Amino acid sequence: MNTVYEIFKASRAKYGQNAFLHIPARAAQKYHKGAIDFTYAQAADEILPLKKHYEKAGYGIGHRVGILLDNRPDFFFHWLALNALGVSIVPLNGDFSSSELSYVISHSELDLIVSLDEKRKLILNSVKNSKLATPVLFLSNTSSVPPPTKPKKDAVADINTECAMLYTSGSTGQPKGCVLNNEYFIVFGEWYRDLGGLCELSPGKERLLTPLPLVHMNALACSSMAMMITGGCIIQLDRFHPSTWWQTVRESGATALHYLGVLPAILLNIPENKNDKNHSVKFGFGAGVNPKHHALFEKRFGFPLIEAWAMTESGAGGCIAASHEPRHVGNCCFGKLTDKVSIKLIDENGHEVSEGAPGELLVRATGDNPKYGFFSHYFKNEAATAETWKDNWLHTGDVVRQGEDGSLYFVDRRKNVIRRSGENISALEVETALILDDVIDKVAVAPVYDEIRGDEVMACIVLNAGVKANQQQAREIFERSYQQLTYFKTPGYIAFVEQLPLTASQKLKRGEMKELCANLIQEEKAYDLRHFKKRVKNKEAAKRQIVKKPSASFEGVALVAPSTIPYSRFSENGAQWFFGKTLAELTETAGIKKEDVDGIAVSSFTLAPDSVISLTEYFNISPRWIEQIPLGGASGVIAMRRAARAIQMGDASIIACIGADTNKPDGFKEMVANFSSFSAESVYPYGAAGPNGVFSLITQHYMDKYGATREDFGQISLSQRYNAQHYSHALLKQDLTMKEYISARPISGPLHLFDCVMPCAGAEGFLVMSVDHAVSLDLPYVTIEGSGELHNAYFDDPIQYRSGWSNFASQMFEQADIAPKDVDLLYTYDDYPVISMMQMEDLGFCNKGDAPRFVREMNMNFDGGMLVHNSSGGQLSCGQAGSAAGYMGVVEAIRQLNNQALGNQVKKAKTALVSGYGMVNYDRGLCSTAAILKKGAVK
Amino acid sequence: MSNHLKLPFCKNCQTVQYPPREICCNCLSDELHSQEVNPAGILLSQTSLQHSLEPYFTAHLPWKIGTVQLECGAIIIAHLMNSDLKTGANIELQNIIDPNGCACFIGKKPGSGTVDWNTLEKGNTK
Repeated sequence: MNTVYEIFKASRAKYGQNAFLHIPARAAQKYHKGAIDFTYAQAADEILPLKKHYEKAGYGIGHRVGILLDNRPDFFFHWLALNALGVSIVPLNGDFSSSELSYVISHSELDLIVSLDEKRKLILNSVKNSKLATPVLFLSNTSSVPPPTKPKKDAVADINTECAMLYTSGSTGQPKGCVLNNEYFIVFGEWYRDLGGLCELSPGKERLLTPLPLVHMNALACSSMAMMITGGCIIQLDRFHPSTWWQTVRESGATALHYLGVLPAILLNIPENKNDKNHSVKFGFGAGVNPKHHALFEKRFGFPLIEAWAMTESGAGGCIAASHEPRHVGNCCFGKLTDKVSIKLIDENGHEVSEGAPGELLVRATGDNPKYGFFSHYFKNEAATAETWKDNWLHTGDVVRQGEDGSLYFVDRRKNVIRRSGENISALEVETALILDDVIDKVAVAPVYDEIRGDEVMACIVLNAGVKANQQQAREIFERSYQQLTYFKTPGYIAFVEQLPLTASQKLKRGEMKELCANLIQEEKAYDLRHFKKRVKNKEAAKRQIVKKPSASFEGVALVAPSTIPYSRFSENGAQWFFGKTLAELTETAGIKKEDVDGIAVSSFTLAPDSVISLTEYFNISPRWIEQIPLGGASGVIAMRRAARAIQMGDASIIACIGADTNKPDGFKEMVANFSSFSAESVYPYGAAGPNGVFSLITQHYMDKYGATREDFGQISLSQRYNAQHYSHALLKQDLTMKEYISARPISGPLHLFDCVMPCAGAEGFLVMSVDHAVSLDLPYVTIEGSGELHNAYFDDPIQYRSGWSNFASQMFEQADIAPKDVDLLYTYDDYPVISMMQMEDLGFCNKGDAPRFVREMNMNFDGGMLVHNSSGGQLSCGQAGSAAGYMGVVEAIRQLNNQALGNQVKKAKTALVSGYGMVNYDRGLCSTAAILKKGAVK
Repeated sequence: MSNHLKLPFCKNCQTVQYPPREICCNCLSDELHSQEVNPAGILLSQTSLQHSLEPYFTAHLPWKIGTVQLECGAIIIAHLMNSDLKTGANIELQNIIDPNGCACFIGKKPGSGTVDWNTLEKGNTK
């Protein structure tokens, strides 16, 4: 057989009714309802009409067609139809940026592109930028194929006809086009068929599942050909989805699967499950499993991970796999040589290394034709081809050693290639993109170790003179690179350095870069941007998610007159009464009249049907600025932020910010039953009483994920109880021991009585004015040094374990020019202890998942001499007076910083961080905000 | 199996919508339609309510609920049929009408057949 299509045709004749292709429902959901299945016969019925269309339009040998069809069934159909005519394909990566695609389109001299309709904008733009007029055929209309501009060659497709050209990222700047002929593909199929050992394939019976993209050799030539040649079924996923992985593996009936190192790394993170071995997979085939994960994975999931070595250039001709014992699991071993492959290991000077020593791997096929099964050449790049094929050996750039029993072990890469989650990234390509940035003088890019992804991209940057080296700068450079490069190529770490390691002739010492980068990360001198590297649907969405600039300065704004109306469990008074009492207290404290207040910002759950405007009439005031902030636990900080801007702009001169709520028996039930439309429809009917149900799900998940215990949460409740005992307005002051905390009445799942706040009535307020105004009134004041807010952050997280703080915290600290360690007083929104922990993590007081340890080791008491947390006892011990709870942290922080505390004064406190969180609309709190406050300068 | 589970999807971009709404959360189209989904999902978290403000549940405490992620991506808070389900377990979702006449979801072991409210009440509180 001479072509891939003939292989398919032979299997179609022999296994017509066998499954050829299965796309599980989850992988097809973007474009099809339910799973997709094709037998060999059905696939042939799809391929033949396409073949006719292409043939009629004039396509044949000598033509090359770009395929932008993701991992969809159409990819296979168009590929096989074109292959039948001797047309070569160039798979195009839909994740590529327009400029990257343009390069490939023009370099490969495509005659036609077949594209998904939803990629219309991207592909037309890319064609336009390539300055060519390559026609594009969209999937919705494949019958009217535009004719090629040049005639086909008059020849018959054979084993040497080009089948595909794959672009690989090498050590040089631009990707190179690897020309692969039919032989390359057929040899791959035969190699896999004959591999044997643990990878035995039974003809007509196997189902091979792969999450890898068809734009790479692994899925296109390896797994696809293995199935096609043995009459098996290709189970092609769109990508790797950890949460539904095993379900898909089970339901699809996979007998084998292909992996990259990232896959076991992530799957081992999922909690163990009795179904772990409930599947029919005989083996996994792949590369790069983390040595620490290898044995663990095999033991837990019950099948071997067969490590293999190959690259696009080597094809199956130079492929080596650990398909037979001994496999030396957990040692980066990829097996022994067969009689079909020869190797040589050489040192930097080209000499063979001594036995057992590591050296660069050179491979070739044994026998007359050293290139049998290898790539043909790099398209339009003879120099690179010659360099790679020097002395009739393929120079791989990988450093390998050979053990005593002949087994080969992967050691390192010598080539300047970063291998992140199966994608080869050229350091030079990333450098070329970055050097165009206006603020960058010099840049060097190198791989650094990443537990999950193998490598991560790191950029060491020398900035132009006078450019500030800080987190914000790193973010902005990252964002600009994101516009130029595919997401996985963007730097996951950026470090600013004084100089790069250079040779005497001013060339970069590549050899030193890896160690330099590892050290910079170790010493915490690199900015970690990995979580911004997201494969998002489009770049517009990516841009939206990124906060462009930190908030403008809050300079000149003062917070004064912290006021609390004593709380009570229930009250017969309306919310208006609490607002009035607070306004009276505020004006009295500040020594002003209520008429001097020309702005008010209010928050309340129990003011309805009245609103902020009703209050103006209620109190006979005529403010020129009013605002109502219905954001629950985020209300106080946000009211402060809005008021500060109004003061800066001159829209008002004295603004009263007040959170007030009454609490009538049964009032709470009414409020929670109708808290939001989502909650009323999709939470309340499940019996969850208010937020307790949702937060017990969040708490349980956090405990499962990070190993937190009830005792850890108890640290927060106990310390706050201690603080409350010294604060005059707290409602709950009786002693609380850990034993009492643990054995308290259960409320929901892990939540017991002292994890839940007690609803009550009360009010909190403060005034916002200019610093000059505060000084003229002789009022002690605090200033806002930094602040941020973000709502509905991370809405893709299945369960909340973080919120918007982690997005803006570093900018906020930078704005305030301090670090978390400089904070004396921390006020988190403590509706449940787990939420306080999330804030400690997201705000940067400790790492994600590390808050349980943090609270165990920290004395959070007001007189503990360490980081004081919720010095007044918080809502957990004062009670939750509705919206006032969101103002409580701001009010107490002002009091503390001004040395006006009510029995719980923290000594020498200069800096406070107040954080807000609120509004459980469905299954999580949506608002997050925070501010850093500082004691005002004495004038 | 007669478990036909349906959820609203956007006709324009095929995004699943839960909780139900009138406008697609992804592309803002208002052309939504109900579509059958695979009832198989994963139990992400669970809890046992020991306290409720609703009389029915108050009389049937403790009551188990959980967060389920369906294959289509929807995150659904559901009643749990079995008290021995482990977090991370495979789960099957089913529609049910509760005693208030409210349509809601229950999560149960895969392949355990259609469950009515009485069975749920016994299984849940066991």
